[in-house]
Amino acid sequence: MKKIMVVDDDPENNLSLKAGLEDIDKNFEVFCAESGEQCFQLLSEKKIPDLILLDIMMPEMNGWEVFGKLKNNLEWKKIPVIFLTARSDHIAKNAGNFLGDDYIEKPYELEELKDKINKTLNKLSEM
Amino acid sequence: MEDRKLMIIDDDPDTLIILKTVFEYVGFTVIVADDKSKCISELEKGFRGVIIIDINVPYLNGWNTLNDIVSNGYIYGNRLIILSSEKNPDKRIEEFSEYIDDYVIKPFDVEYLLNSVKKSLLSINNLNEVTA
Repeated sequence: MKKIMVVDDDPENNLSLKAGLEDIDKNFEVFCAESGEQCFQLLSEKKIPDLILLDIMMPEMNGWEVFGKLKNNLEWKKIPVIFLTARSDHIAKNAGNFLGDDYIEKPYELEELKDKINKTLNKLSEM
Repeated sequence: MEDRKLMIIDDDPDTLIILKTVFEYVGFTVIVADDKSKCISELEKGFRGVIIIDINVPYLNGWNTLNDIVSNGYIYGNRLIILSSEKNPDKRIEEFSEYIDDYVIKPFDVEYLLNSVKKSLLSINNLNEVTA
């Protein structure tokens, strides 16, 4: 099973994304964090995913801050991050593609998201 | 290891956090300043490195900040990169041209800005070697 953590402040979106991803690929096991703080709480409890889907626009700690904190930690820095966001402006897309393993704009097709997750996971397993 | 210090002066929190994340990711020590007093305070404490400053920000008053950096002598040991939303630079820029390495128009590509900062840093380090 491939564990995927979704970090997004919209609980409804998280529920439907979890259901959708686990349905479209039986190899996915999805768990969710509704904030950056909750993401780090889960990581501290050793709930380490194979990949993180990270929203950018979140209150308190936004996606950039979450990314920075992840990459600053020796244990968590290797976890691949795909930005999953409604932001379509140039700077966000450009920086997101530079920093992350991929950048996907909402709304997205579930099939496309599944393919990009698998592509990222496969790329890493080949390294 | 070379000293990779960067100060980003902008009043837009979104630009600040994005640039801070990008530059820290590639190994820079980053200071962000969203107003003139924070910027001057860091320079007084001895900041030396590359300074990215957005000059088209009404609240921050980039030109005023730039003038204070230069007229108070804080420019020495530092290099400047200007961020602007104006395609054609204001003629006031000529007063500071000897300290400016690049004029980058928003929206920009982070990789371009990264390369520009690296070039500036190289010129500071080369100068330090010559004067050491």
